[in-house]
Amino acid sequence: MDEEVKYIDITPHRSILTKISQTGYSIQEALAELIDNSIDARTEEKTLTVEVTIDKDYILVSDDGKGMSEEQAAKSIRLGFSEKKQQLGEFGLGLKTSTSFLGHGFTLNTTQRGLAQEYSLSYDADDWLESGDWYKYPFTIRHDTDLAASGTKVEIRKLRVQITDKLLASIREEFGLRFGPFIQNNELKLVFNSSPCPPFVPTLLYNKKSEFSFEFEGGKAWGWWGYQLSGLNQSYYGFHTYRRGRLVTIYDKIGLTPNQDIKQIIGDLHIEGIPITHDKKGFLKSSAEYLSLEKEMRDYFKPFEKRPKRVLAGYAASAGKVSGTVRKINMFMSGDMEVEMAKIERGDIIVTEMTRPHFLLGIRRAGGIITDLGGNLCHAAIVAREFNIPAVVGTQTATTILQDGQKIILDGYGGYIYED
Amino acid sequence: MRIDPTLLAFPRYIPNDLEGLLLFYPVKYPPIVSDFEEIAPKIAEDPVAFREYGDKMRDELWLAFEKIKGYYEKGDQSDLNFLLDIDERFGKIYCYRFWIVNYLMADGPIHEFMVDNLKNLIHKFIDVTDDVEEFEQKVVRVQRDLLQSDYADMYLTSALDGLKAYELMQKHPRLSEIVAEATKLIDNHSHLNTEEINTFWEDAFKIIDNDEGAADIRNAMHMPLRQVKMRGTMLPVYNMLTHAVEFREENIKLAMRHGEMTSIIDAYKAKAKEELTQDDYDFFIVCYEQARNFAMYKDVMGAIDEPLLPLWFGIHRQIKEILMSRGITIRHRPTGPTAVLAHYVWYLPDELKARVMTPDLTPFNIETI
Repeated sequence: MDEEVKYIDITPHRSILTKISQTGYSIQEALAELIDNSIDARTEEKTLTVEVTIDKDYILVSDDGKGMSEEQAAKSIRLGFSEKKQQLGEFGLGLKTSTSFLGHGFTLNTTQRGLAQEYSLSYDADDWLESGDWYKYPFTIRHDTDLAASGTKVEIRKLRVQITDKLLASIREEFGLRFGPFIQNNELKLVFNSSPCPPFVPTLLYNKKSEFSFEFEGGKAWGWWGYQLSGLNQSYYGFHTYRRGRLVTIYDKIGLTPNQDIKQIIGDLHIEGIPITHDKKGFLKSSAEYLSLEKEMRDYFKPFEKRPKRVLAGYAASAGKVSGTVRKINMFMSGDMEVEMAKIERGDIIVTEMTRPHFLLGIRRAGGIITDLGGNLCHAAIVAREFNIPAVVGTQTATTILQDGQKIILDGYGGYIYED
Repeated sequence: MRIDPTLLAFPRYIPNDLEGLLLFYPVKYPPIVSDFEEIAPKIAEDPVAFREYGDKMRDELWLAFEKIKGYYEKGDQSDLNFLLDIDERFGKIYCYRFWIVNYLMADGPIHEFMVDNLKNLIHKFIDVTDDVEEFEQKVVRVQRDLLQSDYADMYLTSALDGLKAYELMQKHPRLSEIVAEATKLIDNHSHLNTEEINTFWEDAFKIIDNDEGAADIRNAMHMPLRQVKMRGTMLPVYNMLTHAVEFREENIKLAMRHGEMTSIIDAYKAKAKEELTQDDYDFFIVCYEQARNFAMYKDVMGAIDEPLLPLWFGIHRQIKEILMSRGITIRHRPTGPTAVLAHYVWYLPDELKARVMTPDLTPFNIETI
């Protein structure tokens, strides 16, 4: 049988540049890709400043990093091109996919300190689809620019996404979470719509963090963990995982038991050595390295996953979950007001038959309230809601069962008391 | 009628029954059961009727109280028989004119029904979001606001009065410096400073009590000033002032929130009207109004506590002292309105014991009380 080899044209169809945006991004994730590129361009001498401005007509991401050389800038539009190894933007897709997701066009301007040149690339989806040429893409070089300036600016136009106030608030929150480690290390100052993003800081029980580290086959992992009290969405626990300092997954349950409640394990987990998916949204869970780390984590955290014992129930009178020390207070005429008031420290959980208005000072200082008596509209319930203090009322036996000084957790969502 | 008839029957349990009224009143005053079961279906789902009924009960309660008080003041207060008679009369007005509104309705199964349904209906009209945490937080916030309502209860009134007193004291030429000094100590958040802080308040009180220019401050402090008389200690005033300083910033926010509460609740009502069926919306309004009524009437009726309880409990002390003067040893235990029915009855002479333990079948009548 005869055989011949022909050489065919496999130049990508022009529409590939518009199709690559269909990766299932969220707006936050798309913006994070651009910030990743900025972080990769940071220098060791100074804190990198990245400014993100979102307007109804455009999105602007600019940084004062080292900028791109002429060759880097020219190749930044090429699909799959990346010189980055062991950095965040290693696949060479982020700029194209994220900008195409966010808008129909973008302009990139970049300059390096001491060069007095600025390189510029513009992309417009409609023009490209009509007359784009893979071999002749316009690349502008501007001369006599500021010698001292350095950095990259990406402006996205003709937005595909709808900007709402709620979205802006959510982006700020997520930036604090995604780039928290860089912000906390002073490696990054992230400014969003003119005001700096604070790093996300979880509320830990007793403010206690424990550090850990593992070596597993093919890699290593390290980080910290602590307990938090579960919120209304009980799946919000686990680890924020990072690779090279950049957030990969949030509330990752790697090695943890599902459905943790009341006291939940939360922490940061830095992982090196496990392959990552090309969209950088997760680790390859089928890899030997991942399975090896998962086992290490399971063995380590098993002893810490004990569920607290429920000791009392009543009316869930005021929402919130709080841990604290039991302080039994007699608010009746039979109690010595001076003595009773002196017992209450800020954050204590007041345990009483029922509340009285002239103990308002003590009540305001309390972290939580538990009463023997009362229903949803009793004074204790009303005062707790008024002042946002978690409360369980009508337990019947709190003053008998709970001991002064005992550590407990009060669940004002469910109406339960747990031993801590 | 949306309320199941079983909830309108005389309650078997009330979560707030510290004094054991549910144990004693239906036995001592049996017509209370039929009184409640007759009125409950008429007012349980009708907020206007509930308020009319509550106001009528309050008026008769005060009227009857004044009558009994006058009778007591003219009588022989050393006579055990007379004192027991007064106690029975107070018991009767408390049972028929206070208990239904303040406990059987406001803490009983009907209250639970209204609160539960209010919470369920809130879930129906709140916009669903992708984030469970956000959605539930929103529900919790709406629940809190609606159960709170635009009514300021005693605690909120105390906090707002405290804020007012604090602002007035800061402007007062003789008090501003004292407040500034006390503030420094209070902001340290240490019990070790309590004594010194109270010394400042002692000085402040002398000015507040006598200064002609401090009438507004006295007015803002009327609640703790009354407590001082009732409890025989200055602590209620000291605590109020410390609270006003310690929580000054929070209280400003509280005042703002309270000031906006009517419009916040109106917005919830508008949202409910938009999202719920007409039937659900009407029911939502009933649940809201009744929850507000139940909370509010605790204070409306509770205003009687201030003159009634010291007098009534004083009578209990007199009964105890007379019995002890006869050589009877009485075990100490904290007591409330049912002190005689629950405790002293065991120590009474036989004929009085029988009297106390005999059911009073005569229906309540304001003319004959």
